[in-house]
Amino acid sequence: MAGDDAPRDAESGQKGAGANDIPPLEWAVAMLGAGLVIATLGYLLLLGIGHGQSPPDLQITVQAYTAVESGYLIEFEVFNRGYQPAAQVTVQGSLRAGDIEIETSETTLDYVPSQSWRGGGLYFANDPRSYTLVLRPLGYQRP
Amino acid sequence: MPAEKPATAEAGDTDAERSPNREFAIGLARAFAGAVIFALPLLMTMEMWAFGFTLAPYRLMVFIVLTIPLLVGMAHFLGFEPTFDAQEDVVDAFVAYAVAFIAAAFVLLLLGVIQPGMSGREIVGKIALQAIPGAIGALLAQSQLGMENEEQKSRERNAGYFGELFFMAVGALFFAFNLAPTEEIILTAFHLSGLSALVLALVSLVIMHAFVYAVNFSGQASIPADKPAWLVFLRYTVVGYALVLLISLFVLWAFGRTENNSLYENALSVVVLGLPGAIGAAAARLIL
Repeated sequence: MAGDDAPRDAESGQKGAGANDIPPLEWAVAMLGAGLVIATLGYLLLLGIGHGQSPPDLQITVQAYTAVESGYLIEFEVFNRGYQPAAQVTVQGSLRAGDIEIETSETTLDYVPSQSWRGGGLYFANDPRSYTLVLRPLGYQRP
Repeated sequence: MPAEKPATAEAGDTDAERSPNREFAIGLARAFAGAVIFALPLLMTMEMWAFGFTLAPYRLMVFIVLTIPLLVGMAHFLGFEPTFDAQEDVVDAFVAYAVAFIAAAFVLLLLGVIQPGMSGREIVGKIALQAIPGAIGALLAQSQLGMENEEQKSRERNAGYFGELFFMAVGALFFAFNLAPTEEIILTAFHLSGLSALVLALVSLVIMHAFVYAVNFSGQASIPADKPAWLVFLRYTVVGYALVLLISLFVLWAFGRTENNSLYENALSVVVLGLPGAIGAAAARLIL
């Protein structure tokens, strides 16, 4: 291998810096690549040492209310305030009249990554507007 | 193309008249095509999307940090610039990464895998992970397609023993990377008995050795004819398979597939992933 390269080395030595051969556009793209690598690594490093491992902390907000064919639909969004992702997140919605639970409905979201939103919907037979609607996460799996 | 570079000017007379920037732009287009072709199966794999946010940051960092020297090595052995120039190889490597990163971002955006409302971590994680196989494809396309010439061919053939091992490692890594994210690898390991795993390992070895001979027949091998058969088997097949197993273990670890599993279960997974790894390693010697 060394023997194979030797004459070329001599050639490149003759013409001086090999940098002259690299077109400006190539330099620019290479710099972009180097920048992306450094930025990605830096960002990941910050994530790794920064917020630590705070567990999934799920906050559910109602987005929309719609009367549909099968009853009433409540669309919601889940925001994971923690810094660990949650898989198979079960969300339960219940309609209450005072202390009495009128109806419950639940669904499962595949993933709610850290600091991200995911959405879903729950169907109810009774009109949620006539009762108190409580949405809460029941549990998750560690991915 | 500057006049002091007769080696590449011979490759095609028309190339000599093009401006270096224009020529590079054509290479760049090829690199994008290569990145998309090589990364598309993974860009459309569900597990890979999830790994974008479930993979611990340090594992992703290890992946990226190891990808750069891999790309530089590929640029060295395959680079379309026939001169040995470390700077050029490093530039090629970063160009490939930039291309793969942009290509991955574009495709993921197009497919709706990246959307508003996702955290920076999720978006960066998804793109950075997909950029790894993409960069391998970009570098291959950048160097392999089009710019084919005798100079380059002879360099690949004369890569030497460690060059051959390097090609095997690249092939094994690429194939292992493509399959390790799927549930199927560990699922296969779960229902495989120790004896079946042994058979699988032996079959992998036989396949690899068959490829060694195929390479011999195609005339691009650097195996001297006077070497005894057992030595060829030891030097290429056994060492190659050992490399495949190590790479399989690394990829499984990096994807968090070895976590909380027994040594036995992990050994089975490594052998299972070793099958595509062995085929990738063997094929890489034939193709590259």
